[in-house]
Amino acid sequence: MDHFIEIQSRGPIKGGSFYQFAETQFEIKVKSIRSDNGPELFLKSFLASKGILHQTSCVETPQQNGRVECKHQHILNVARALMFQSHLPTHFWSYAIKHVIYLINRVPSPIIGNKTPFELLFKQSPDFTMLKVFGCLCYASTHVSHRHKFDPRARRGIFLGYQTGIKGYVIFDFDTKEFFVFRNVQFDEMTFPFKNPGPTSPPTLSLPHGPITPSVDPFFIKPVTLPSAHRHPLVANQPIHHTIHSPSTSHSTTPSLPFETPSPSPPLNPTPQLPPRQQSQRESRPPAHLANYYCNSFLPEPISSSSKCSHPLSSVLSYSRFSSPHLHYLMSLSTDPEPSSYQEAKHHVCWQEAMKAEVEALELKHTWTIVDVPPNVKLIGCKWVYKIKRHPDGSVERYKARLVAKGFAQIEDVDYFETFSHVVKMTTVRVVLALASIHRWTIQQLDVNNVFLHGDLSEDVYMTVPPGLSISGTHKCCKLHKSLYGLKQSSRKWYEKLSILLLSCGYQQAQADYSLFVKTADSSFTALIVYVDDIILTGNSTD
Amino acid sequence: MAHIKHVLHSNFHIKDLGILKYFLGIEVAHSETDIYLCQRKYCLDLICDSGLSGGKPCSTLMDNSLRLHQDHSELLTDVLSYRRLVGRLLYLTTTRPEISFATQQLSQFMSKPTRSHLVAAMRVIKYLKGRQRQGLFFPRDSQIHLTSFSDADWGTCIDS
Repeated sequence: MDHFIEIQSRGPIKGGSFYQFAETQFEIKVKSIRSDNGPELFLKSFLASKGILHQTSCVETPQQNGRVECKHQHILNVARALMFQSHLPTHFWSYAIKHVIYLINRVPSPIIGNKTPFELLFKQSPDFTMLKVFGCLCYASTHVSHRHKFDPRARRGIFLGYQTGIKGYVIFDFDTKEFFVFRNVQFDEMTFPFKNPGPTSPPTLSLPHGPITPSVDPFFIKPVTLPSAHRHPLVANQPIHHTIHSPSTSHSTTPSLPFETPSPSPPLNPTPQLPPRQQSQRESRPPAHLANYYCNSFLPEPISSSSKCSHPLSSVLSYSRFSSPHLHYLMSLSTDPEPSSYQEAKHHVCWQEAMKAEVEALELKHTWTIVDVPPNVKLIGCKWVYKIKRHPDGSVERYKARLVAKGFAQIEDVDYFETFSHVVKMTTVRVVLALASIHRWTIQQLDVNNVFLHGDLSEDVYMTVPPGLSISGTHKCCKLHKSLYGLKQSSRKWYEKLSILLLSCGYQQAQADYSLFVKTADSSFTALIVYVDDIILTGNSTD
Repeated sequence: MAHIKHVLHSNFHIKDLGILKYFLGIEVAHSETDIYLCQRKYCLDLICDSGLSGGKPCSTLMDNSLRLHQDHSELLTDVLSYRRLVGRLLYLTTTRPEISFATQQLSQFMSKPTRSHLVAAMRVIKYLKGRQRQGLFFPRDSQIHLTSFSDADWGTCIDS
């Protein structure tokens, strides 16, 4: 059986110890060794004494040593990934390599039937509970016996792998620059302390290069679950604790390591980290040429950094990501406020014209007649409501003013009687649409303009003269003939009028839903669904 | 149809909006083979207004074992928003029959909603978040059948 030795370091190969290990642990005799012609592998006397065949590749033909080279590549690929992820300095390469071997031995491979190498060797599946992310931040609990009440309870470190034969984690404490093995550790596997290098230089660890190398054993070692008798020969020739105290005095120029505050995400606003600048005491103002413009949403940089406001809005709210048409829309929204009362609107020509148009339309329909205020009548107030209709780009489509009556002042049985108005049930809509779908009827939609102004008022309702309407003489009011927006009976009056019209045209109200009007004449069929001012019209003939 | 349009227009001013596309918050799509109704915009607005537009979608409407009843958990301070929410869900059942049961359950507690009812309502919204575009589908080649179902389940009602 061939065994290959993976070369971890350029130190003298432990061929002898491997031979012993394989024999003791697995009762396997090493029969042959294949290697390249590296001088560190020449153990001729040893190999000869054990009767092991040493095969070497020819000069300049690493293909003949392919198995080792492939494994070598595999290990280095994974190790690079670990190093890039954790951003550890290259001094830690040996830990990475060791961890890679630990990982590879526990990753299933299709070549060996989707089993892990560990499983093949030990005939049991590996234990994954101790798997942690290499190079992540961790907190090792301090020794209970040596700490007093106000000592820190934990020390920060990075996770570097496992120690063979010890149930614990190898941790590098980057404050004291010390390696240790410990069991009670909390891991923050999303944080890599070396990942965010500070503004100074990348961390140069003042560590002697040699002793960092962990106890590398390239073999399949079942680390912690072995009975103690089996563990003994392994740990005997290696120091378990290789604690290294960095010679910090000799390296006084070593910059402080940049992981004082390891943060999972980079700070959103880099401004607070800038060194304080000399700032003038003068109060900053926007330039004079901008005085006539609204620029609160357009400041490219918060000028409030020097103002008194400690939490300026601009630090949390920014318009910078809006597209230019949308910004244009927003700006026009804020520059053109909709007035909330007649007092505000009467100063603007656009609103005056809008109100004039509305009054003309109302008078054209004989909505009211001006009369003297009858005695013992409480007048209903009225109000202008203003709305700017806009195009999608924010430009003004039209200014719309609507006169509404203050219906809440109406008194029941005096100003109104019935207010109930039918609206269509959604079930009816669904059924009609389903029928239309099956019978392939066309479905059209109609919209009634100024819907409530069509209703005829039967009650005597007196309304105050709308503001802005110039009327000769005092003590006048409007006697309404048509319903206005805001009156309680408006929608009922509209429905009455519409239903009378439709019934006169030969339509019938459905018994199940009074908002459904149906007409059948010969072979043609028409249905109307009324929801206040929205009408759905469907039928089998378009004429 | 042209006749009635003319009659209506001469009596009132009518805007002919053409083929039905949007009616009371219901979007209507026509094609050769079907009519499709959905309330996507209404549903989106509902999700936005409930503050869950960043929330995770949820695959089910309600916990299967959940039996909503008049429990003694903390009464909601903002009763109106709960009622408004359930009202909007009720309207959404127009094109989403599958939420009818959950909405009916929620609407039993309009007078005294508690925290557990609100949590159940939020669950419904999370469910809606995953499937805003679903609606009713009327194929043109289907037959007219009237089918009725009934399942009165008084036994599971804890309150009565």
